[in-house]
Amino acid sequence: MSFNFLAFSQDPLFWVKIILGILLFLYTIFAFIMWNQARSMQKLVDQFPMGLILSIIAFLHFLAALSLFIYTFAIL
Amino acid sequence: MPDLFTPTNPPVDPATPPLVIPTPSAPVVEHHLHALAAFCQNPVNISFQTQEPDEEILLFLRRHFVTNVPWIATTIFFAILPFIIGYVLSLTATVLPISQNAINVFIIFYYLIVFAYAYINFLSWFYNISFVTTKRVVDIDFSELVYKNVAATKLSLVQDVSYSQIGVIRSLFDYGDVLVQTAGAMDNFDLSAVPQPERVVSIIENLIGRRPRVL
Repeated sequence: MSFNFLAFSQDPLFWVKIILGILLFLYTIFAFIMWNQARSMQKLVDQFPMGLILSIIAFLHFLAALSLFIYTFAIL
Repeated sequence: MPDLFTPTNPPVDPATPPLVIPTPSAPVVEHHLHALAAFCQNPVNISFQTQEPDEEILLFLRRHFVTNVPWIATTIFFAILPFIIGYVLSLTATVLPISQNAINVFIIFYYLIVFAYAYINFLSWFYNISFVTTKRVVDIDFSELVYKNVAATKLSLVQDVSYSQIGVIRSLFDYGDVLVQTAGAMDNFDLSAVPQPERVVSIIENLIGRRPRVL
């Protein structure tokens, strides 16, 4: 299956999809930073088990953002 | 010539041991710190990175949970907003000019942003912590993911402790700002919106010897 860029660029929602893709990419980076900060703070102040739970939630959020980014590329 | 001044206290005999008044010490009651606690004396299940081996946490402080109400209300509002918009669109029978897949992506993306907003606010509350230990006052500030500041001062450098409790809400829920003033050019510590500020001031004053120990 080949990607037809010409057909894609003639889509009336071309720019919407491009902007959505860029936003999702930036959001995925942001989610990664969020996860990283949660881990960093967990090391600074260890309140078991809440620190660990917050880190896991941040990681799941990062995975969700990454999945959405990939899914968006697959369907749009 | 007669003596102008004679000491009333008898001279201390070096062979006599000094008089020691035994002070009763209250048994330390350790408390299990629950997940959303904002005030805890002698917590057991928490530690911080720069804690020394012989340093014990006497007091754990965080902003009162009531201070989270504004962002929780905002989150709930934005969480139900798509349902309201969807209901309005269904009433007007409006058809959006994009595919259902794109709408799904938009909705999931929107909820991820709402979740991130709530998570960051919770994290900012959760990791804005102050400790009073057997040696120091430690203040950890964390906000909006990008600002992190850890400040500490020795108890011996603490000069004055005061608190302010202004407003009906603060009086109702018993929380206020505690100001720990330190000696010299060091920064003061502002422990904002901590529960039971009077008790916090009392505990710190006891530790720095400004007030007789309350048993």
